[in-house]
Amino acid sequence: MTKATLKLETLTCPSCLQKIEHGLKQTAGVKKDSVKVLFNASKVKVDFDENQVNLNTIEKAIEDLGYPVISSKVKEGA
Amino acid sequence: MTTINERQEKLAAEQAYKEHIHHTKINSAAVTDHILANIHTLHVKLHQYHWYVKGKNFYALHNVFENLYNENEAWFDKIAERLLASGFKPASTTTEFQEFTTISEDSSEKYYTADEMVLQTVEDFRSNREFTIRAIRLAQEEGNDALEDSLISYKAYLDVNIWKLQSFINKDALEDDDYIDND
Repeated sequence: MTKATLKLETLTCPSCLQKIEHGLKQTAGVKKDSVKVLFNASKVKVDFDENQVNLNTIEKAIEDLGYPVISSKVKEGA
Repeated sequence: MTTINERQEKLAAEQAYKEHIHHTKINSAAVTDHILANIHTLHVKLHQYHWYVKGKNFYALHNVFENLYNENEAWFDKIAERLLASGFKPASTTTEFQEFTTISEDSSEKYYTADEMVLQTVEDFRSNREFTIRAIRLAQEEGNDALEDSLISYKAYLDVNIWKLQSFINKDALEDDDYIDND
């Protein structure tokens, strides 16, 4: 399992948070229970299986929902 | 007597305004609607835990959850009335609260162990504290001192109860708090 933290542009409304959370939970390879959107820090924390999905796909999933990703950090084997 | 058409016209204007605020510059009242919706979900959830908690700590936790839902209920009214006093229109139907809530519930949670119930309550309180912090900042910017004050009191209440619940499961107040930004 790989842990990623993605920094997004400032999230303004709680509904954005729900959209991102739902979107990521439906992405194959993402550990559903791990998805956490930090509203005030404008960050997403997520654990994923590298054999099924990579960071680019996760970033794209968030950006496709309309939320630009500013930077991402990955911690492997966590 | 008002007609259904008159009422629906007023409602349509209010909803259009709220929609506009959400998509342009969100205000403290819009974020506070989400706080109220979460309190509404917590009302049911804390009852679930109050009823179904099991084990050696039944008597203690049964009472703790009862206190929590009573206090939760008091905040629901206090915060909504503060919005009204500031000229806003808080959500007031189950449909709206279901739409706005960000806290999930599940029938299977009745089978949580006592510690899992405590842990989940901490998680839900932390999640609602996130919105409370944002609403405090927005109320500050808007110069709405009274709303800011009520929200700060609610945040302080959540802080203390998170600490107490964490202590019950042998953790420090801020331990495992994912919302703390370490960077």
